[in-house]
Amino acid sequence: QDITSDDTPIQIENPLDATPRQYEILGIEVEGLTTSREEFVIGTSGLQEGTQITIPGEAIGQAIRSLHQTGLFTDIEIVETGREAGGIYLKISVQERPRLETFRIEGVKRSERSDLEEEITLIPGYAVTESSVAQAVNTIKRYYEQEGHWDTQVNVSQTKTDTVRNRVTVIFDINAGERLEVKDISFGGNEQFDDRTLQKSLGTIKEDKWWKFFSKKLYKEDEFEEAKNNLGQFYRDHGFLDFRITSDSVYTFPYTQQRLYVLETPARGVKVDISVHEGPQYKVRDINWEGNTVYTDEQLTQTLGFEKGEVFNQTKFQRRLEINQKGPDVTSLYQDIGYLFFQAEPEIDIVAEDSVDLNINLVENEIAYVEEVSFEGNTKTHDDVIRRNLRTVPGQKYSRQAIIRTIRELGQIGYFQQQSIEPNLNPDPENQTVDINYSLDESQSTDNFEFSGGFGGRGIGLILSAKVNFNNFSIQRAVKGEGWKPIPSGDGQKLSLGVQVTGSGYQSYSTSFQEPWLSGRPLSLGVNMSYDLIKYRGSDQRNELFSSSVSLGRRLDWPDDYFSHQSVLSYQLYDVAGGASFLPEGASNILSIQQILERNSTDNRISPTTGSKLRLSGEIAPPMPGFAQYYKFKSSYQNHTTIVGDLVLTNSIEYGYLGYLAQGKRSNFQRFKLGGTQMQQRQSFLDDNIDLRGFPGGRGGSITPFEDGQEVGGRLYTKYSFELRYPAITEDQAQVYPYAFMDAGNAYLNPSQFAPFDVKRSVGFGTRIFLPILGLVDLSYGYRLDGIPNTQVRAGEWEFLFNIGAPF
Amino acid sequence: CKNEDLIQRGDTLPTAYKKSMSLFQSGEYSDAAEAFETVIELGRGTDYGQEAQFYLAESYFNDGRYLLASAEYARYTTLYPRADKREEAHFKEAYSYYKLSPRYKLDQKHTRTAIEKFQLYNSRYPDSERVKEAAQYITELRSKLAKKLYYSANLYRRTKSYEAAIVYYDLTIENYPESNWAQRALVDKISTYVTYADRSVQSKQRERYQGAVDAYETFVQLFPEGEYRSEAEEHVDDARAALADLGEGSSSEEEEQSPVTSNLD
Repeated sequence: QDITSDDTPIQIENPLDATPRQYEILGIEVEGLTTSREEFVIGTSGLQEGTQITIPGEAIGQAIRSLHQTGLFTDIEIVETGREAGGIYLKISVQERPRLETFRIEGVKRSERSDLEEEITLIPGYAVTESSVAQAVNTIKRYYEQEGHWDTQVNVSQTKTDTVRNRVTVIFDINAGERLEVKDISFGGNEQFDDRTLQKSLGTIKEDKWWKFFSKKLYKEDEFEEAKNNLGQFYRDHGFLDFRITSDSVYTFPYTQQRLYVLETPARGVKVDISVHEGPQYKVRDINWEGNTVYTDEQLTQTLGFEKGEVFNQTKFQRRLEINQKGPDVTSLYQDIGYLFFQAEPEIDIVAEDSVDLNINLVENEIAYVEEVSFEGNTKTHDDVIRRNLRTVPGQKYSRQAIIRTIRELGQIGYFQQQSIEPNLNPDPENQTVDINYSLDESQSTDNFEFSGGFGGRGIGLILSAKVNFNNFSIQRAVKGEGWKPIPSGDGQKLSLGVQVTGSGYQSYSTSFQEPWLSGRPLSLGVNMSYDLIKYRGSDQRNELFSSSVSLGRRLDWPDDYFSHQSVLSYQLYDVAGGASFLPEGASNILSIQQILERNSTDNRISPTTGSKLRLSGEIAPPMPGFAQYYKFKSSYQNHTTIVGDLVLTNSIEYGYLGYLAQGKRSNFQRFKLGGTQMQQRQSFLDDNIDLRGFPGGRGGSITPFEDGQEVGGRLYTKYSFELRYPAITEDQAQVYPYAFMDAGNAYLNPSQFAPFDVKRSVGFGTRIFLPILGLVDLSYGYRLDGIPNTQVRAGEWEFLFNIGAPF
Repeated sequence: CKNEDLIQRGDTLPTAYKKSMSLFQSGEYSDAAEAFETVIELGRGTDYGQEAQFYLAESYFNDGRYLLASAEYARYTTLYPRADKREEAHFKEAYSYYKLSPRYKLDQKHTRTAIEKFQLYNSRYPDSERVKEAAQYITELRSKLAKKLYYSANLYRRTKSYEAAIVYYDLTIENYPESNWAQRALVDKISTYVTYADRSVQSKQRERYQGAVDAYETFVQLFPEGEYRSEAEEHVDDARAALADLGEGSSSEEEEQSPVTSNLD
């Protein structure tokens, strides 16, 4: 009975008790090698002959660990084979693991095999271990689970394929088994909501129905967890604070599959059961604030947005307290004026049977100031280009709003992937400062090449156009001769070169350069030059225009910082031969100065969801000897509003007026004509073309007053536009915005005929497609409600138009 | 290159290694890298594998693929901690990052890594001949980081964000006090304070001119022999003159300040 009664003493020597002694290794041998070399084993172990080691000590353990780490050996043993005065002989015996020659996957489809081959991490030449094989099996099972296979069998076998080099081939024989779909989701204990409502609330896991033939309703574990969270969230958002899931189970079950209402076949499916406890629905009774000195109770309660007696919605509560993307929240109230260290500790106290008191304890703390503002990931764009766009400035009060605006504006420059811009805050509560770092991703190219062909309509024929835009050019580096692989970049300058030709004798060459910050100051410089030539088929008419301009622009701080101002000095040389009689034959010179005031608060270049743009411009070509004279005013206003969900309404209104300062040498160039798109209108470069959907534009297709049967163009114009737009695809690689529109506009011969509501109308639909490499393409299909008298353009016809470039 | 120069199926390990080395020696680094990869795979656990690992890194390095080179040097030093070329590999790993370090206007992630790696090298091999060289690289790289901060400050100054400029001049001085940019930053800090004060409302002016005077005192303490000293003095004279103009009704603190500064002159 008594186990200690055996008096044979057990001799266990604790190696730690032995006195450590130093030995010199006098000799070392290695046993059990097949392909590895002895020197390698000894070298790895660190136990070279002549080395001094301490036994017991670190050295032997370290040697075994090092050998283990190579992954090449098992059963590593180091034993003493002899001992002399101060010296020791050692033997390392190892078992070499077989190494992988290759692995094969059998029993599955080819496509699955190649997927698996990519996912399995076994590497030829590396030792095959139990864990590496088990890992591969797990990978396989996980892969099939994602596909709805519940019971995947993997049979692993190894064959020696190279005995000399001790290599093995590992074969995975897979039987994926049946693929099961979720056929039934049922609930128990739900009284306030029916099964259908609850099924919808799950979100991720869906029940299969005969009409849902587009998607497979597979069961995935992580999705089920998410579904349960969603369910809980759904209840809590309806005031059921005591809600909990009492039990859930997932199992396979047999059911009868119905086909064509007649045939019935037995099948297996997945069934999900969820039992819940609902509890009472809580309503808000009192809202109490503690510790607020900056805002009053009323201001805070109003921001929180709960009324007495309102059902307590937990998501709304958290959102209104912490962060609310679409509207106000309490934390932003504080964080926008510097209270970074502000904290709100909510306490939800249950009072009476179904009421809660919201007691919110605020710790306002001190105002934090911004210290260092840095960014990382700019591998192409220079610091200044980024830093000048940052709204968070060192020394200023911390503001969450400023960070949000910075992210938006950095996204708008177009150099960085919008979704991956991320602010990292490093607060220092002791000094009441915060460092802000923005991480950026600049891996995508910013340059694009537009190449397009299209039919320009009557009298123009086929259009071919090519344009290269270097959106992040650096002229300084170009001059220094560096970075020409392929194009010097980094200073945020824009350089573009374009060519356009058409079948019927039109040619256009243009180049433009823009430096948004001239010599490091917020002053933008633009230089444009272009040459256009058109010869009309079957007539001796020939128009030429050489045009050049220099512009300076600046962002203004007043009245607010959405304003900007631009001055443009331009020179145009027209040469007209055989043209319309109201245009002067031969060369005409025009020198003009233009002033533009703009306020732009739109949030996106391609499809704004909010904001507006107001633009006022005045241009004057003063009467000078040898130069033609005129003056021109233009104004436009557009507004973007999100109506429901992502649906955006854009409305815009435009007016233009062309006048003359004196009788002499009036310029009849650049009068207003409406219709068509910007791209095709480049050919009628003698006029100021205003694009209008539903009307073809160009010669014989524009809205213009007539004089003696000639299209003379208007001295005034109006344009109104409504557009309802929906972002269908908003990926980085592609963006698609379908829209419906209603446009209207007209051009008037002179001020006395001006009638702002006598307009030509069109309605229709279209889509804007943005691909990074191609730029923005706009396709529209418009139905004319009004025709243009004296032309072939009649009411009640459809017009297809194609454009490249941004409309906003 | 010719077909027989490349590794064939059935080549022995020594032959494969020899072929890889001859590619390396004839400067065909891209092919050599591929060949060394094969030798490493075939010869894991042998001396050939070990040597090939080092020359794989060298091939990438000589080919200008520094990021790959640094990773392969690092693998060499972890796999063969006892190898002879370990010190060389540690140095070249750091040097690869030095080569990757871009101009100061771009992200300086690699610059920071290079500094760390050179510092690690110097603490690992304090007796090495290349300690001095490594220290020089560290100085050069730190100076680049200082320049980056300094130019950020200048941008803020140009855009009239004077407080932000002062924060950034301070960062330059605090983080890189040994670099020449610190001295430059300090001088510019003085003149920024003067400009800032000139453009401030009267109630704030005294404090900001005083900022210039304080910055000047720091300058004199840190760089008594500094090459920009006369420039610093010009700016501080402006500040002092302005303070004297504001003088009436000055606080007692002001009284204490002036004898100290005059002593320094």
